[in-house]
Amino acid sequence: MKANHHFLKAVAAVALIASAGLANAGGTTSVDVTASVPGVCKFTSATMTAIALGAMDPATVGAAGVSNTGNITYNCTKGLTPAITKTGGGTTLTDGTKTIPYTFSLGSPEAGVGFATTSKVVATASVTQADVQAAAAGTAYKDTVTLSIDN
Amino acid sequence: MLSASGKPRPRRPTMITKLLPVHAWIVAALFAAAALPAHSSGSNCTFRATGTIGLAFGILDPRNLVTKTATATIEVGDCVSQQAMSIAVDQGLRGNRTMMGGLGSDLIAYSIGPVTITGGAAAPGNAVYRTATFTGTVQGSAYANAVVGSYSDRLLLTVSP
Repeated sequence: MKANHHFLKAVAAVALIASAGLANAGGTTSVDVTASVPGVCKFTSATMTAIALGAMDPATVGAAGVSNTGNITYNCTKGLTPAITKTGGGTTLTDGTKTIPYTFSLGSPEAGVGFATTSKVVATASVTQADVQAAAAGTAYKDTVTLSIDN
Repeated sequence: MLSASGKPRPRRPTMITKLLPVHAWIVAALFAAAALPAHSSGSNCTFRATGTIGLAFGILDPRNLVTKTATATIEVGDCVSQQAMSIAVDQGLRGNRTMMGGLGSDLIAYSIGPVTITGGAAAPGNAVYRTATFTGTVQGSAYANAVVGSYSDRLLLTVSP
């Protein structure tokens, strides 16, 4: 009796397995939908607004020298903080013949908030008091700094 | 065999004879199920998966906001010839056709076009399949502000009859 009871249980289990297999062969199926969004950034423009140091008067320049700031703007995938590096320029202003040493530095970049919104990093250009006082007169000192943005 | 009263005791059926009809029925049913071919050979149509069925939009690059499309293909049929097959696509796991991912709960919306069955909707017959395709679309605006990461959803397709 006990053996037959076990036999019935086994048969019932096999029957259930068989019926489950047949159910899977029914008229439904699933399709996975997939996509990926890369972590990327790009500058908002190939040319940023110039940082103007204005008229540097050797006679009145203070101990802090002359400096000014400008925004370097970019778009990044949301949540991504870019690495922005200087790849060229940023050391010397020139009018073609005469030069004035200067420094160009970048602050901490803001994290991206999505490509539809602009983020920024502040750039600072500075000329020391000594370099202003040593500069030759001129009206067209300038430099071009090249930047790169990772991601 | 005699009872205490001396009358012949009726012969009790053995357990085997009691259960035999039940066994025979179940075993016969199992053999019948095993004898079924792989396809249904019935009136209800089925899908036949060939490889991975997916609707893959690939990389959605926010630097280049374009409308992205992807096509899914699946075979359907194996039902009584000339029945009109109809395939329904549900709204996905969240009921609104969105892929979830990014930081975990970020969403990217997509849409699904009509299902087209090559050769027409009339069922080709048992053990014969036709190719069904449908296209998904992601608008550029749907991922303009998307969070970095992988996104996914799962659609359920139902064929009738």
